Amino acid sequence: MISVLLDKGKPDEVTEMDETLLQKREDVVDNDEYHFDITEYCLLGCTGQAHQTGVAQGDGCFCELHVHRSIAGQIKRWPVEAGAEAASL
Amino acid sequence: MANSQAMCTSFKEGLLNGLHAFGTTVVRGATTKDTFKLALFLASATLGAATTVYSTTGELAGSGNYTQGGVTVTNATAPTTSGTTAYWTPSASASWANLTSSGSFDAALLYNDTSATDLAVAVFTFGAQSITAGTFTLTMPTNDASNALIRIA
Repeated sequence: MISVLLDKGKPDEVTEMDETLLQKREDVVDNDEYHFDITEYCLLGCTGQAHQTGVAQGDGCFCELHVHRSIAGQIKRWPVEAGAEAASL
Repeated sequence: MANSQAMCTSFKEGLLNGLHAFGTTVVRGATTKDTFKLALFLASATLGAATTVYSTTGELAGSGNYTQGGVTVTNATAPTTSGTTAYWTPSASASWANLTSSGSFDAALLYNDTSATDLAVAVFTFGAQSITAGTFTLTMPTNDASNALIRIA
């Protein structure tokens, strides 16, 4: 069972669905700063353009018809570093 | 043995522990460590080096199981040093379960929830993402002088 959102107008109303009734897609974003494992589910029979072209439809979202999207992110090295130096007198 | 000019590594660690105040500071009510939080911000927000305090402006809406203010980061490991670098990293992942984000987000703000004004610490950015009825987990980097979340080198 997987948590899904069937009405995007009601983001707090989540229900459970059998994974076999859903279309699963996994993606990986990997760079020097982070590694994201993305798991997305759409309803079976989803005819979203993204599934035909393989090109994500929205910023940060592969398919606009998805009902579930999770990300497990591994932070490698966030660029937060403060240099410190003592001035010469 | 000759003297060598340096910023003392113990001072860098002391900064992370709030041991020095060159300017006007606050009266601390306790010697306990502060509570730090991570909050998620929409890609349309404008957080950056100029951010001074946490604000709900640009933050994910308080819907879809997201609570504005973010989540408390686990802080079980005190700042430490290695070589001439002082560093600190949360000791556990930050996670938002059963989340449906109110929009595409690409930043997390680490801030001091103990301070009266929620002072900002750092802004972390990543590729814009959205979450639907899912979990967003940020696993922290290795806590060492090269990878720690906060490093004063």
